[in-house]
Amino acid sequence: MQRLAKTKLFKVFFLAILLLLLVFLNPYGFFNPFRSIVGAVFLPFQKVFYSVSVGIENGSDFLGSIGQLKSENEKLFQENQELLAKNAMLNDMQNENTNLRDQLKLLPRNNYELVAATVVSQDPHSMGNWLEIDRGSDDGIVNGMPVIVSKSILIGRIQDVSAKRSKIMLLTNSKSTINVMTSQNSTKGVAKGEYGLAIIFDMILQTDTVAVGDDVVTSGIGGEMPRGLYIGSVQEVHISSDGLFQQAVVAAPLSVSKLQTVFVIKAVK
Amino acid sequence: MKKKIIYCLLLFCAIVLQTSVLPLISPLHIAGDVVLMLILAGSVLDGFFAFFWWAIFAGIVYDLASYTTVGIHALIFLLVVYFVSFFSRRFSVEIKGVGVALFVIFVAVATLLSRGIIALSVAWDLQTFNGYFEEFGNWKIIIFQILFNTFLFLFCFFVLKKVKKFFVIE
Repeated sequence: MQRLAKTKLFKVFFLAILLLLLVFLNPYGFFNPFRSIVGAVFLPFQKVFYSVSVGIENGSDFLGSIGQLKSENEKLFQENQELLAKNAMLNDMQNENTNLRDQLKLLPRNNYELVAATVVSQDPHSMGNWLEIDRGSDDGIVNGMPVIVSKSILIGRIQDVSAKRSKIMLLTNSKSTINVMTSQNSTKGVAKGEYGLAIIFDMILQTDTVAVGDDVVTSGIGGEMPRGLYIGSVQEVHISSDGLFQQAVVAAPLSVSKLQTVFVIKAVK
Repeated sequence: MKKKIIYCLLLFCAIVLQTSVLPLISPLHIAGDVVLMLILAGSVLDGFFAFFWWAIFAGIVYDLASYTTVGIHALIFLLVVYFVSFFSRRFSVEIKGVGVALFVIFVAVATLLSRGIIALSVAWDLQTFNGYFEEFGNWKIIIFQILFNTFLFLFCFFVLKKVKKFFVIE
């Protein structure tokens, strides 16, 4: 027996069983205190290296795009002219909207209590599943809080919180599901992440209308997310594999892998 | 004591690189796994009995730092160390001849094992095996990652060898 115990295979087998037992302890939060301690040690270094890496990534993107700059410049100039005109019209509509909301006693938009946070690391296997930020329970962050960029583009929600850092589950994470609708027709459904690569707008009724180019926003159903946070635009529509619903592929407006600053919505004022 | 400090520092640097650098600067957003390659290099240089506790320790710290299920990477690294020891006993593991082919095989098997076990843990979390092969990745991604990992392995191998020589670590 002693000779058997000294063999490599026995050691590996015994340790593998022990490690599998550790895996089963994870859902009970057994390792959370250790994760906080380890995270606190790594955090300052991750912050520095992440911001340097973003700089390198932006620099290499710039060098790669020099050839396209002229044609892009012309396209952007024309787009700018069109947007100026649209902006004037929208300002007018905004005034009317504010007056109407005031009369109907609706909550004002964009009135969130936000906490700014810096991204310090991301999914090490580049699977687009999560980001880590340098804010945690010490800053009033709790599980489930939505995370946005540029005022109202939703990128995910808080999944794990420790004292000084938190993990954001991105919308492309397979575990992410959010109640959404299109802003054009109020067509309702559920936005699900797919293997860190895409967002699928699922469970759309066959009788509802959804078209390429429609904007997808949070519907606010269930109360877990404020209404009106932008998710992306519809790229493709097809029937689901079971034939019961429509499904749409949603393209996010930005690449989360290059984000440096995000905002956690603590509360709606 | 010197060996413990040096190995811990190397592990620390590898984890910081893996979580905060490689996912950003990797081409095509397919990151290699520098921690896995460091463990592979360590097991080639030190052998099973000298390194398997380091592999388990590294796996647990990596899991805690990277929000992975604790135990997953420790299991992957343990299996990698065992696999390497199984072959390195029978063949000469150097950067020439059969050794080079062995290194490429080690990198390929370690990469596939890592992806397979991580996809399995995701499938377990989601309580479905429907997306297992999508999580595992298609052949283009896997081949690209193996190439990237081969480069990382050679880098880690030479760095570890030089560090051991410089600090006179056995």
